[in-house]
Amino acid sequence: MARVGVFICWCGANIASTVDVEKVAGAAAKLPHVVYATDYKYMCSDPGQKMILDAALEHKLDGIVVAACSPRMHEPTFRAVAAEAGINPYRMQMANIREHCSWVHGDVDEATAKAVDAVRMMVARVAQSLPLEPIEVPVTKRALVIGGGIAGIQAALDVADGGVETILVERTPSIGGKMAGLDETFPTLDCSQCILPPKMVDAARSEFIKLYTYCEVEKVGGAVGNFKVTIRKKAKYVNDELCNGCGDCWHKCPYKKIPSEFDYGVGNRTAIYVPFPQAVPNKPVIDRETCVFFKTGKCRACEKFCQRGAIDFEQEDELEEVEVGAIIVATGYDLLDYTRMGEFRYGVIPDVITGLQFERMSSASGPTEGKIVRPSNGEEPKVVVFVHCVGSRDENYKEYCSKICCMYNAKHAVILKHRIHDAMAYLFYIDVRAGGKGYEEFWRRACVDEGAEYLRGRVSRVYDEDGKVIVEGQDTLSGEQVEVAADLVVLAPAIVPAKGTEELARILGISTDKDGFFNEAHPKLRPVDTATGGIFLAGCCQAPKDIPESVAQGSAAASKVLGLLSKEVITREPTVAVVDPFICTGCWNCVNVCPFGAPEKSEITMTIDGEKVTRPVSKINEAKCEGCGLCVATCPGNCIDQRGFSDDQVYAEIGGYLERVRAARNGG
Amino acid sequence: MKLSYYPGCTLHSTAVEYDQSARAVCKTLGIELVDIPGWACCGATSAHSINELLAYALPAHTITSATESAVVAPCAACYNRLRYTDVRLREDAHLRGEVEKAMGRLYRAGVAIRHLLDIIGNDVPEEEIKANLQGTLGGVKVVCYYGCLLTRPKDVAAFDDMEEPRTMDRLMELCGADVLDWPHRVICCGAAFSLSRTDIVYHMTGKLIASALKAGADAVVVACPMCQSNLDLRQPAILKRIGIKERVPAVYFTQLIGMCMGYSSDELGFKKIMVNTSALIKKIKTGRAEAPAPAEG
Repeated sequence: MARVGVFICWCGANIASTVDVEKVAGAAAKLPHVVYATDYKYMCSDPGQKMILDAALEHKLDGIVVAACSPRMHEPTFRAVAAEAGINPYRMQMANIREHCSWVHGDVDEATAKAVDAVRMMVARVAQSLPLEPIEVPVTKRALVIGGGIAGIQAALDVADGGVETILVERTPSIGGKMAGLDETFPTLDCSQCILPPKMVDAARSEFIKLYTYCEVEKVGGAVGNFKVTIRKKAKYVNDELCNGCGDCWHKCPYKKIPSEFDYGVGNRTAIYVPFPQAVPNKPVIDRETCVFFKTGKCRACEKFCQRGAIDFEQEDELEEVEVGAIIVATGYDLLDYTRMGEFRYGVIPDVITGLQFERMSSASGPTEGKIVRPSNGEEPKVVVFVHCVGSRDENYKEYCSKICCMYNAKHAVILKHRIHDAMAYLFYIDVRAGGKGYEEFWRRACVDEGAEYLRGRVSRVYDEDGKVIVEGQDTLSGEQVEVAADLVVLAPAIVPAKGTEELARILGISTDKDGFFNEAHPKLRPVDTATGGIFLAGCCQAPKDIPESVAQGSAAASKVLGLLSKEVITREPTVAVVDPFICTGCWNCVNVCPFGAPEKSEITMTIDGEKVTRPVSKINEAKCEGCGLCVATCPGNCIDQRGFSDDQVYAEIGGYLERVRAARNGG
Repeated sequence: MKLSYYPGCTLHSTAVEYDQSARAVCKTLGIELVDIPGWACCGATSAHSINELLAYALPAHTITSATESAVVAPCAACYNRLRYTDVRLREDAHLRGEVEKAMGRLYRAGVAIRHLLDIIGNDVPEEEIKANLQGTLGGVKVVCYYGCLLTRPKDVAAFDDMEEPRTMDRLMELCGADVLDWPHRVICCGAAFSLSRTDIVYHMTGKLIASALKAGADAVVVACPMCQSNLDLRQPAILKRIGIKERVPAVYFTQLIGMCMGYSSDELGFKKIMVNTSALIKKIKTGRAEAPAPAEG
């Protein structure tokens, strides 16, 4: 008989208000194998843990069942307690009587009975659990950062600072991300072009950072400590090693009217281009979609004028496989498709633009060299309306607050006043949300010192009339309908995950929330981790964030990675598949079905009737096995079992439940 | 296609021409309209401002009385109230119980509630409409006015984009109209404030008419009797106030389609419209000379 201790947690009132915890402890004490059972208000707290420790020593326990919250929450906590008490951590099982019981039921009697069932099942399981030892695997001391915006750059710089080689993958031709396109930044109005490019250059110069621009992550295999990543290096049609970035090619390219992605269409680019003058690397790529040579087979102007012979129309995409120990995802954001919000007539009226387009106009390095103009006629706007919450906090689009818009709208109003002194700024807002250091002061400054007119209410319609853009809305403070005849309307569309986020989530095997942002492992206590070991998050791919927050999370992710990669070996869960070679027939079904390549074709030599026989059998490579159980279910000879989820354990657990049925039948 | 037809009160009174033209167009398109036995007023604005139960019980009674699997309502307000009721009664079992108690019978859930514009614009294939057109609007300049109730709220009345609908625009283009781009498609006309706060209607409808005239429209095409009444009956007084001499008739989309299908302006009730429509009618190339006059509808 095993000697199992059962510990029932109240979780404050979370469990105790619906489950009669004392009754559960009483019922547990009567179960076979159980030598001790008790309940306590917070089992995960220090006194709670000590209670388990003391009981384990006093009652010579060799197995523990903690009936509390989800094992996703506290399994590591209680495994550590078991280990401290000298009990193999894999002989500790949690019965989830919170998420699976108290939170979803209302009736105390029924919930209590269900909690008793859960405890009985776990006790039966623990009695069958074999002690397991964690598997140790060596760590690949290299990190991958996906996304070269400010969050990714910061993460890469900090990882590199720790002396760890870092691969920074960016899908556009230059690192810098959205921030590289911004003008001055709130709340201090230091210009993005003065604070970001040095970081970009540092990243390019660092001996530990390898830039992979114009590249995309195509496939990720392996697990924490040893990921195998396939990177698609998109054809640039320019030989980076020969190119010196002189610019002859893009100056000679005859096609100059292609709307620039970096300028959000405010400015144009050529078919061979660098996205902006301060790009890193400052070497061009040819856009196959717009290059006339790829369409008609004629032109080759860039090739003719390149003195270094760097143009290579024969280039093709290349795949490169790299091995890394940890991954930081920093893929950023895009704007909600505001073109579908008909009331703003974006795309119909040229003088309706987005905040990002305003940034490009007001940026000294932008296409208008810092001059704010009406796109329709190039004139200086005298009345500008800024619309907050375009699709944010709106049940028809996105329910969440995009967080940064209040601040950048205030900033735009200030910049407008600085550049065009007699201009009027009207801002339609729902609430001004300015939590942050110096933020409240900043928007007050826009409102009070700079005279921006804040109108509390939403915009119902925008239309053009006699060369003006009429903005209709309400002012809920005065209760009046208001109408502003504007020269320029600047929208603040909701922030949504960058295009391709869903696809990347699938590649990485990490989850996204209801709005498509990557899920953190815990919303408060593990905001940088994902639920998958070795994969971390930084910046807007997790939720809307401003620059300081993105930088902070980039650094946080980097410290997580450095912590992980500072170890020589890392331990992996021992809950892997194991083959019984004596009954395996070498049918290779497991080899064919495994997505991770863990079962390997091997041989066994055995003596049968005094004769030595060598025959093929399957063998699991523990370093590769993810413990998914596919091979276990597939094996026709039932010769694969999964440690921690063995047939014996699972059947014992089911038997534990059936006890209730048996008792009911016997009138108990 | 066989549909339960819910004219609502207005199509029996101030909007007889909508009823006439709707029936005519449906007849040509082979849509059989079956009157709902014992239908009641939808309650419109009055009921839901005064008595919530009544506001749901009235439409519920009409929906339950329908004999077909779908109800078509030509009035935007009726359509909105019926849809609203159906949505609420499906999601709120308690309310449904109260309504059923008031009705004295079970609510018949599962009846599709459709607006006439949705049926003609989205269910009838374009080729079929084209095949039934004998004439053309011949480049008559129109603006399409949907009003506020036809496409909103999003989860209740959503057969088209709630801010920039195009169903009527497409139908009018199909009939050969020159459909002008107009940003006021879903602006409110002031609706039932027509009686209690006429000043508001003057302001809101005034803006609509002025902008339609400015755009150069020969007609404002509507799909709601309330909008039509405000745009039509109030027009002379409104325009006099703001000193505009021109007038622009507000006509139902079914009247314009009907003209192209060979019906006479009398059959389509054009005489019921207060603003003079003769200039508009003259521009329409009905094709009636070539085609035999349709039978009485």
